[in-house]
Amino acid sequence: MKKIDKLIFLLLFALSAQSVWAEDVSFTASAPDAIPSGTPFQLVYTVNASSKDLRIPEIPDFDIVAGPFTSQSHSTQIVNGNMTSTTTIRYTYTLVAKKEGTFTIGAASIVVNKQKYQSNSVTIKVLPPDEEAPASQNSGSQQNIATQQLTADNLFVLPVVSRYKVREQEYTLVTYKIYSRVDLVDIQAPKFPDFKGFLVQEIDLPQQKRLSMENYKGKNYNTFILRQFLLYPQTSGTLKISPMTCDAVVRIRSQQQVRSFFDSFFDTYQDVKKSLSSAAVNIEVLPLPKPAPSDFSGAVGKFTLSSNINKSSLSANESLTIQLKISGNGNMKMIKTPTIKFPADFEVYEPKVINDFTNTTSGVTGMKTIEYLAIPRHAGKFTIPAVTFSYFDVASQSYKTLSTSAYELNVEKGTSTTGSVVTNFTNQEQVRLLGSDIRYIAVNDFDIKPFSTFFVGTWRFWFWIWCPLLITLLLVIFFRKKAKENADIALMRNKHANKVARKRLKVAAKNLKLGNKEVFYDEVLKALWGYVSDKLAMPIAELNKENIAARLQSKEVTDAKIKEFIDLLNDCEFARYAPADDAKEMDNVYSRTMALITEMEQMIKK
Amino acid sequence: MSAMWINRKIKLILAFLAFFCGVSVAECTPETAANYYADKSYHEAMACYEELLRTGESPELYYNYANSCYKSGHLGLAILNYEKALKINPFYDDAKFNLALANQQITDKIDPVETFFLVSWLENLGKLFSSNQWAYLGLFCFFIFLAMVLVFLFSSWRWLRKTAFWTGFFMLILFITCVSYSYIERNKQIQTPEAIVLVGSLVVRSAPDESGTELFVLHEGSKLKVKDELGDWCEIVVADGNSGWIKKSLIGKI
Repeated sequence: MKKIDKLIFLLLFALSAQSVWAEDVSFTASAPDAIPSGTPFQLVYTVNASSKDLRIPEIPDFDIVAGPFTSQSHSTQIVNGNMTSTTTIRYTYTLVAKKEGTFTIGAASIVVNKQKYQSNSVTIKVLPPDEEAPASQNSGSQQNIATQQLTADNLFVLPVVSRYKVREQEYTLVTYKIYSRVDLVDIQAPKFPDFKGFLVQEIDLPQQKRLSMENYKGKNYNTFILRQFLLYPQTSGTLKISPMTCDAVVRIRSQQQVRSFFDSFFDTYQDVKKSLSSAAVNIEVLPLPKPAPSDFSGAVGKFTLSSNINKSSLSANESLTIQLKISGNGNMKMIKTPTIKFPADFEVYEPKVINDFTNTTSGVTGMKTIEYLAIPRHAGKFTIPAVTFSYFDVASQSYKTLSTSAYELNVEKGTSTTGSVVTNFTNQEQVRLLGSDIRYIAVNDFDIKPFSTFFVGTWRFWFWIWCPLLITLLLVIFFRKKAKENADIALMRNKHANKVARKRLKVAAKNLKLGNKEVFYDEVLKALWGYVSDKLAMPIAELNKENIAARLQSKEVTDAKIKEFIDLLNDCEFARYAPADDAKEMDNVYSRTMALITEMEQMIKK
Repeated sequence: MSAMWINRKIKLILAFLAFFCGVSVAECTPETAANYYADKSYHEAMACYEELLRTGESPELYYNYANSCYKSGHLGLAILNYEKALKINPFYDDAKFNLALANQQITDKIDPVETFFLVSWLENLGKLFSSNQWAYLGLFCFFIFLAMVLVFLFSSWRWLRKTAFWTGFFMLILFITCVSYSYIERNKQIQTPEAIVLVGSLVVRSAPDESGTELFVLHEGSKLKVKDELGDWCEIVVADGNSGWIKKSLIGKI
């Protein structure tokens, strides 16, 4: 049991040790990028652990002049009590290229701790030798260059333009390169043009300037890239990039005469400043072809578009996110955020844009992620239309339109019972509202009538207007006629009143002579009542002493006469039933009646 | 024993039949609808009142239907039917109260265009009664007027004639006013009927076409006037003066 434990422990330990080694070992090959042919150069394999059995691949295009030389360095570090030690072993070969061209030296292998490791492969560009001064066999290039004269041929700055003819918004890469055949120490105060008319994106270069060799116009130069810019022209036409300037510090061998004995042994060097200026560059910018699609917003390059929605069914007042991804290569920074035409009733927020771009020598590459947030406020079925994105495809020199798919959205009613949001209530009102409800339905019996139509203007309406109007008219005509007839009778009676009264009085006078007292008074009363009745156009039945007085007054009979008339009536009625038989009195009544009627006749006539 | 068994079986079948028939040919009376409402089964109550409203109308019926709609969450329909109830009987207090309550839950707040106070006063006076009520009132005034004419012509008393003259004159003016209002209200409802938005939200467009420019959005329960009609579309105007085109099916005319 114990033995097994130990074994496992050991095994684990061994494994862990192995893994530590595996992580830490690095085995790299390094060589200059470019070299003039015939010039020896060094190929160095570096490994950071004790190793053995280095096997390099076959290199038929190069001669191994010397090597491998092994150098070893060891360093130990103690930080906070933790000791770390590093060992670096370098295997150096000196090679000479046999011919011009670009050659690749394959991976080498090495064994570290019984484990085999592979190095990287190295590509070397072999340049033609200098035309003017072929490299001497025994002097290194470094020395060779240092001896050169400080002329414009030996040190200059060159703007290397990837494309001189581009479309609007299509990038061109401008690389400022220093070419030197002298011992360059430093570049000071570089001043770059302002690149008017371009959108400038600088490419990040490694901190350590990488030197390389290049053959330019038959000469081999040490070159390095000063700065690299991606330029996106913003207007069409010929755009001029003005020159850049900088100061180069060059170490040259002193031209002074030898003064002392030692000077001849030790070369004296001097740092000389030389101002450099590049040539101006013209870039021809072609306008984008017309007509452009309606939704083209200036994107030029090569893009892809994708979108996704986080849910297709939700309830009102829930949020909804649509993500749009535009990825590709081109003027990414100039891409306008496409707008999604959300249904009008959605609450839409400002989209969130995440840019993830990198500047590479082949243009700005990356992805633009746009997140749209919207909240449907009401229930229903909605369609979120497709988003289209047009760009000018540089490769095919034509416009291309990308489109996402449209989304069908089903919004259900939210938690609110009525489905509408009550937002503009103050608290107080809300409390009052919560406590109230609609009134209850009508529970009493009610009649359901046929559907009502408008009454006014219908024939029924006009019937109800004309019918009563006609009836009224008929009534008016009827009453008028009757009134006229009545009026005629009254007039006749009025006219004949006097005659009738006198006739009756004649009968009375006869009875007076006969001494027929009762009949006499009867006749006198009849004459009086009848007269008034005829004159006032009133039936005798309606007459009495009171209304006679009032009516006579309205006929402008004097009060004295009315009193006389009433007195006479009273006298007659009294005398009629009186026991006494007075002929004189009867005479008197007769003459008074005759006089009164005559006078009243005249008065009423007026 | 067997007779009883058969009897029970027949009863069962009858009950079964009644159950099935009862669903399809429900005998809808105001009482059954009210019972549904009382049981808080508002959807059934709604269906029942809808059935009843096919046979005829009455303010109470519209009011009860509206209440069922309100309770089952159809705010637009509820408002529409309260308005219908009030159209027949502008003095229906319960309908007025419930309409006000429902209107508080509308999303849209539309400020009406300010008009001269006299104009709005005269307009509001017209809304006091329905067109038919104005017409009946007018006829009533007309009858009194005619009676007064007769009294004036044939009364022998002077004071009576005087009173009859002035009363008749007043009644004539009242008659003309009432009939005018009756006509005005009728024409308003025929030419520019009011309507209520029945769907959650609708987009008002500048043209009777789906591709018309979107002008504004209206929400359920908002009141509008129909100015014109063209096929499936109608031109509407809102109280604040804005107008545009919408689909006819999305609104309900009062």
